[in-house]
Amino acid sequence: MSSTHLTISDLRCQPGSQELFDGLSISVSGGETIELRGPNGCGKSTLLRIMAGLQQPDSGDVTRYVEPLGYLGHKFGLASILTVQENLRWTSTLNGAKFDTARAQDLLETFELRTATNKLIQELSTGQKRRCSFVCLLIGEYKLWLMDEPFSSLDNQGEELVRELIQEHCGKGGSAVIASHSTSPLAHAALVELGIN
Amino acid sequence: MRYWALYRRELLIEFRSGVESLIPIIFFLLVVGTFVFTLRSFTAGDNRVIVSVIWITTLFTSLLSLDKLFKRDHADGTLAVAVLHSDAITATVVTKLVAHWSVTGIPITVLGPAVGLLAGMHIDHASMLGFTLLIGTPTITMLGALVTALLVGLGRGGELLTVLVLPLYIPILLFGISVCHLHIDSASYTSELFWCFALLTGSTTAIPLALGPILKLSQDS
Repeated sequence: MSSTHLTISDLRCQPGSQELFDGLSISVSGGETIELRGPNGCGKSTLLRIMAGLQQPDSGDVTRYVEPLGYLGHKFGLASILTVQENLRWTSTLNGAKFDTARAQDLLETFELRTATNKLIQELSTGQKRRCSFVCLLIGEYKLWLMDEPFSSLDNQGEELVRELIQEHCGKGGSAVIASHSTSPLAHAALVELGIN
Repeated sequence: MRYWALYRRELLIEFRSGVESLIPIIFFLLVVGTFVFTLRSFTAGDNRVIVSVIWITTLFTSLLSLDKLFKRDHADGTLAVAVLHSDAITATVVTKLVAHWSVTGIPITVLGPAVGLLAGMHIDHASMLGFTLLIGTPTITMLGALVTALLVGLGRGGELLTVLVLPLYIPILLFGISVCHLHIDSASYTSELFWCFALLTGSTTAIPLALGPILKLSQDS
């Protein structure tokens, strides 16, 4: 039986004069993928930030049953003057886990970052930084992933890899909420359409 | 273990920043050197003036260094990642502050009395200056971090930081200078020294706990 990872109920958010959503309720359970879709400015990123706890809604409740959450925002969440490996170590430290070098190397291999292990983040391309932030997400072993435009800056191969990983993660009882503009929706994802009011 | 790993990371960032990390210390030496050595003929070797100049310059140096305390982490998104780990945020904040004090507070604690000695301070007076800086600089770091955390999400620092943080620095400045002046005058300074310790204890116990929630709130802007 799948457990609930996060619920939001009767959420209202109106930053400034434009109302983004009102009365929005979503429940995210283990094994579930939710894809947020909608035009620019409809509040996908805001909703993800509210789910993560980085932003407060005007009203409504957000209950997180699993913490910490893996959050992948527009920023990569990587210290630019540290190496790839040092950033991965930091993620392990935050989670109170011992850094598993072998697992980190495997993941870097999967994301074709093996040769960049000792490179500073500022020396990587935007696509490589995005790949590295995925490795951090996997190293962190978070149950719930909140991802804002995860496919941006990735080539076709990278996008395919991320799609597979999301599917694998949810197949193992994890969950993911993804804001995406990608033309092809994620397999088995429940779509939540947000519109501009 | 976690604290040590986080502290190492912060120190690594400071060292990789190179000259940027040294600028506050260079600023401190330039300002203290300029004042102490140009005013020497007017002060007639009055140690009280030297102590006051060093203490006031310490405050301005902290303003220069504190501005970037959380700014870089906010810009690259690592601060957002850190605040999502509620059980690790206090450790993150504490190690960040200790690392900041290690690269600014400790050098000032050492260099302040050294400059004093070069300017002709008696070794006893210079030692007391070093001792008060040892108590005062962590307090300054804590108070400054509190205001910096409030401002980080607004993308404001600089002048606003100066206006907000300087009034908070006044008590530690007054007590720190008073201890040194009373010591120079061979008067009792026990109560002033206790106040310095009280400020140190209060700020180092309460502020790190408050910074986590403040930094999380600062993301909402």
